[in-house]
Amino acid sequence: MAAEYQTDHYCDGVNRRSFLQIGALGGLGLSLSSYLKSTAATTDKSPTNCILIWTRGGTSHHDTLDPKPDAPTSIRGEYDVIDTAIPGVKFTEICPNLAKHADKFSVLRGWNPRNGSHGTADQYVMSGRKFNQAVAYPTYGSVLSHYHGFRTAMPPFIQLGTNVDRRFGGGSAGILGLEHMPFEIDADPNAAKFTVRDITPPSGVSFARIDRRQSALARLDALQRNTDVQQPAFAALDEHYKAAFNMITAPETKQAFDLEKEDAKLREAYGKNRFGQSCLLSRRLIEAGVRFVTVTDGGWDTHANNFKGLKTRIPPVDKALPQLLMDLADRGMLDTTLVCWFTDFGRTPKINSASGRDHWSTAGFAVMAGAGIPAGTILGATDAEGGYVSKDEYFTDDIAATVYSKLGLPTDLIAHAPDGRPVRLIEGRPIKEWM
Amino acid sequence: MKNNNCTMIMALSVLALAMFTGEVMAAAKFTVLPSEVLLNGNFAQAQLVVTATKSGEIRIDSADLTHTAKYTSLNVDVVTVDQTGLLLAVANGTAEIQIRVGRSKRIVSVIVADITESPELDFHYSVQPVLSKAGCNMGACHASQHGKGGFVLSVFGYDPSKDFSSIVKDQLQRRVDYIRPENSLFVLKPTAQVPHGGGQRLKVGSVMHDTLVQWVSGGAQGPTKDSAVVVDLVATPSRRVAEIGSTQQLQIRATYSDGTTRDVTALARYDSLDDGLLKVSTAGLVETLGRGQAGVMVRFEGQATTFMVTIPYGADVDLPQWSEDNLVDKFAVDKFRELGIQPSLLCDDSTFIRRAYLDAIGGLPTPAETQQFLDLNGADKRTKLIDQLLGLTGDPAQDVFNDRFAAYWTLKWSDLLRNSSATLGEQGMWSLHNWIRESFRVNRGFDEFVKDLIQARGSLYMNGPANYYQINKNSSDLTEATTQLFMGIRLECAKCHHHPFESYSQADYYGMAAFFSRVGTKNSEEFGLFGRERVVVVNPTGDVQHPRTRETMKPTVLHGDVIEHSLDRRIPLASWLTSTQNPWFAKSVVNRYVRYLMGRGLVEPVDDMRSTNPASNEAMLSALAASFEESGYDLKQLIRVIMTSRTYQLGSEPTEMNVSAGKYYAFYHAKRMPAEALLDAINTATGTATKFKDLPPGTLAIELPDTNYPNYFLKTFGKPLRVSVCECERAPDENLAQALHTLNGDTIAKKISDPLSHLGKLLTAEAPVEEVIAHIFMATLSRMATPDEQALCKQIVAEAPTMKEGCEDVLWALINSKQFVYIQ
Repeated sequence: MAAEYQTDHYCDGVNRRSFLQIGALGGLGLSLSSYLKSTAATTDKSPTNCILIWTRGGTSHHDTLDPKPDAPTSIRGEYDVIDTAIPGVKFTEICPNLAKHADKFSVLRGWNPRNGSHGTADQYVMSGRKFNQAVAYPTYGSVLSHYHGFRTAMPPFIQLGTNVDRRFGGGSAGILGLEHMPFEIDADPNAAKFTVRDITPPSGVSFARIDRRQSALARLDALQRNTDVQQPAFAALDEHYKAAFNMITAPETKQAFDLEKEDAKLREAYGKNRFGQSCLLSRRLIEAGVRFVTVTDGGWDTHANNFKGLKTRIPPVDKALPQLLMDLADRGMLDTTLVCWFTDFGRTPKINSASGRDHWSTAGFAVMAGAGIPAGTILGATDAEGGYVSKDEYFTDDIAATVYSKLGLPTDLIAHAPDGRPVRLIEGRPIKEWM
Repeated sequence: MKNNNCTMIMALSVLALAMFTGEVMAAAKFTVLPSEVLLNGNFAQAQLVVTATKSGEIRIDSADLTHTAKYTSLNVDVVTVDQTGLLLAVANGTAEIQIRVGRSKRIVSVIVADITESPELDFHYSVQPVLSKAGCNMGACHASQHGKGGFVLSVFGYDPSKDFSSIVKDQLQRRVDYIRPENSLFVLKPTAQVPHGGGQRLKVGSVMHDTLVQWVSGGAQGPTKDSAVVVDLVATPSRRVAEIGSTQQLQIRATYSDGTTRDVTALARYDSLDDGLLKVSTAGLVETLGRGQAGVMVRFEGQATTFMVTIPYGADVDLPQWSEDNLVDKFAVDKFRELGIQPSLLCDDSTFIRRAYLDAIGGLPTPAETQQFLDLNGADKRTKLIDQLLGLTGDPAQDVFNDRFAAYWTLKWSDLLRNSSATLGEQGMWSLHNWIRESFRVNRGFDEFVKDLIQARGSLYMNGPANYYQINKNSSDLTEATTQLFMGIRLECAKCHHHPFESYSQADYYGMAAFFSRVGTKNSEEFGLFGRERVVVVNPTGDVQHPRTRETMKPTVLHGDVIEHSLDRRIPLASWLTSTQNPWFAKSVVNRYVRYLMGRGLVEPVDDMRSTNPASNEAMLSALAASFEESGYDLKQLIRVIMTSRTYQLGSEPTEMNVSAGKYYAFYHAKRMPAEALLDAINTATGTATKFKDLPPGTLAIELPDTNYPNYFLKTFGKPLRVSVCECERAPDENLAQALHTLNGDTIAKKISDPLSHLGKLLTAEAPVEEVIAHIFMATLSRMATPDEQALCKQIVAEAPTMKEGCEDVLWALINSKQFVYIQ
């Protein structure tokens, strides 16, 4: 009897019937199995983590890393240019530290965002897929969480700050489900009393009391469980409780959030402001086993007073980003940590009547470093007015494919929407100069 | 490892079969179907099915012998047969196949016709099925947006002319080789003779491979407009009752629009609808693995059918306490008997009151209400409680003021209709909310409710249901929302391609969309007082086109008639939708309510009803739907029928025997409280309140009209943003952030330690520890603590540094316990 049993697979090797099953079980089957998979101590095939800096609103490329000193004033703007560590490459004068350390990261000047709206930008740039009403594409961190799961007691995906426009599902898990949403930390790590919601115990609750409570809960549960057979849903709750207690009480959690443990000089070097300390915290989180950290920052939508605004917005980034790269390198973590700086899109070449720049959908910049990205390179170029890409044009889709590749995610990865439909997550091709 | 397992299972099943067939062979009574075979054209195939018979007839539990019988073709130059009973035409003529089981023999006569030397194969008839069977045109492979390797096919082959040009014309015709057809790239790739990203999909020399080669040899004919299409698909057998480890070979016949039929067993695609119960091979051989009822979905060229199999749990069941007075019980019992399932015992009174309150009105009973119910006597006390909750006591003093029922079900339908100020503005949102709430307050017939929505026109601010046309702005959104909400059908697949698991085509989709082609909104001048006001208007013209054929679509109900209306096409649609002519309306509503109350729909997912997704109890679904129709679509009566059933009132503890029989309602499915009900329950249990922005104090979470409140608890527990009509937007699963928040978050911490909470007041009054513990149990779990629990809790309190801390910890533990967060 030579029956050939269904060996049909999707191109990614996912069994075709598994999606039917997920459809039948609803979210539960998916979340439980992937959770169990993720908590199982399997070999970790992806050592590479990611820190993504998201400057919400659209950081001007003209006034930072892609200046046009020879353009008329109406385009060039108020800032002068300065030399960088790369001969012949200039940044604007408001980025002195980035200029000095330009040999530590790579800038893509050939990015064509192909989108000029907020919200859809957060969605597109952080997922690699243009907004689509029918399919909520997941962001990189969620995919990593879905694909590789937990590494330690720490959540695999953490977002610092809430400067992500979620109206179109930006920075969210989308079809992968709630469990792969970033764990959000809204508290300011620069604040004197920095605590993390739901992880730092509420006031009046000591760790000794948490232990007592955990034991009380376990004893009551044992008493109330009158049969050995229980409803399948309960197993999932047990697992989540276990993971939650683990996270609350694990030493690496307490350590990771305790910025006081950090050398005062180093804290100073990152900048004693929210952005700087968030960058520092992101490094500590990666050390503690988090796979993906998004550091969010707002206020970059400079329709008015672009030049005045950037003078306060840029310095924290100018200070913290090179420091983060140096710190990671000092600790030997840079090879396994991809650092990205993305934003909505570029801004208009022409300065408007409010001394601002508006949304620009055909040019912008992206920064990447670490994880084998060749440092000290400038990729692509824009035309004389910084309006269009004139050399080595890459799209958001390709940036996404690069992120996937660096993080050990297959670029043809397929996930299943809650209705069972197979969805290919990205379509772009990795940027070859950065691979 | 995987291979080993596989081999072992196969070995076991062979053994089981050998033992089983040994008995049959002595008698050697069997039947072969079909008794005569006509094979038409080159590459025609047909599957024989051999069945053991008892007293000369095939019964529902007859054993399949197809894979143990021996086959011999007596005329191999006309037809060949393999040892799975699959015939292949070779040359024109007549032939005989001998089938042997033990020493008995049967003869099947075969006629082969229409074979020609060098046939010009039809793209539709011969090539498309191969591309589908091999998986080339799956969404994840060449039918993805940009195809694979530059080769793009349409999803499931819905656009044959595009597929044809992809194969034959694109890339400078590099994919076909007319000189040496077998060297065509599109043949070399799937056979892995050159590297292929999708691996080997076909074998060289297989019928499917030879078909592709011959098609090229014959000049690679393109699809023709008048090609016959498949209109029906029949599986033989269609049902079986079997034991674990038995096998069944299927035989699939397709009927074409020109009236011809064709055996497509070898070309159809098979999927097990329950991997735990069945597996099915690519050749259509089904093997049973577990107990229960499940199906195999069979698909071929846009049509689908199912083969159902029942594997009983046990022989006898003991159901002395069950009566057949209640519809749900009547059909549940039938199913228990059919499958031999012994259901769990009835739940106790305190479990019942908590469950009934949470299910019917979305809140906990107070300790006083619980105590009153527990103290009552009388066999009908549960029914009385249900009537009280539903406002059906007939006593105006009790019925009129039962507003929590309306609030809770308004929440449910506001989610599904997607009422949100983000889309409608504050005024529109309130307008729709008030209309929904009023409908549930007066228990309007659900048909009227739906009619009002579909036919709505006029001001968004003054006519609540008109907002349906602001939420769903175009004919596509309206079609998809309407079919999913009120027919339980997910038609959106058919927008772009033929529905993968159903017979719905693009014509079906756009036929429905045509009903909405003349409705629109425009800015209001008359009602513009609040700004952004719009009115829903009906235009005299407006049509939708079939995106591929460019044909103007007539308004056509799904699988039904064209219905035109000179004034407003939505009027006949609304009538049809809510009539008994529409086979889906009552069933889809009933199915939703079974899920809301019993934790699982008869069909799951509830809004994905299709012939290839059969109900776990079809008879119950039909009976409930019929009774719902008869009642005038009375939702309260529907809820009453379900809640008064013994099936609903079963305990939530499964037994070893029935733990896998949950889909037949052998026990009550525990379900997690929805976010809003959970927050209310925590407030009720602790005696605290949550204040919501812009709403008066005392507003319950289940009463919230809008979606987005700055409330971390609701957000974390997945209060839907109302962006999807899918029931799945409210995720039923727990996640880590939720666990962290209840275990360690500030929401519960504050409520527990609030000096003005129930517990705070008891502590201030220095109540004895026994009283405090008794209160905590009553407030959280609606029951008394058992002596063991009482003792344990006293010990927990004693271990704490202070009585206050200890009591708070007990309350904390109970709120986090499964008995609290689940409706059991």
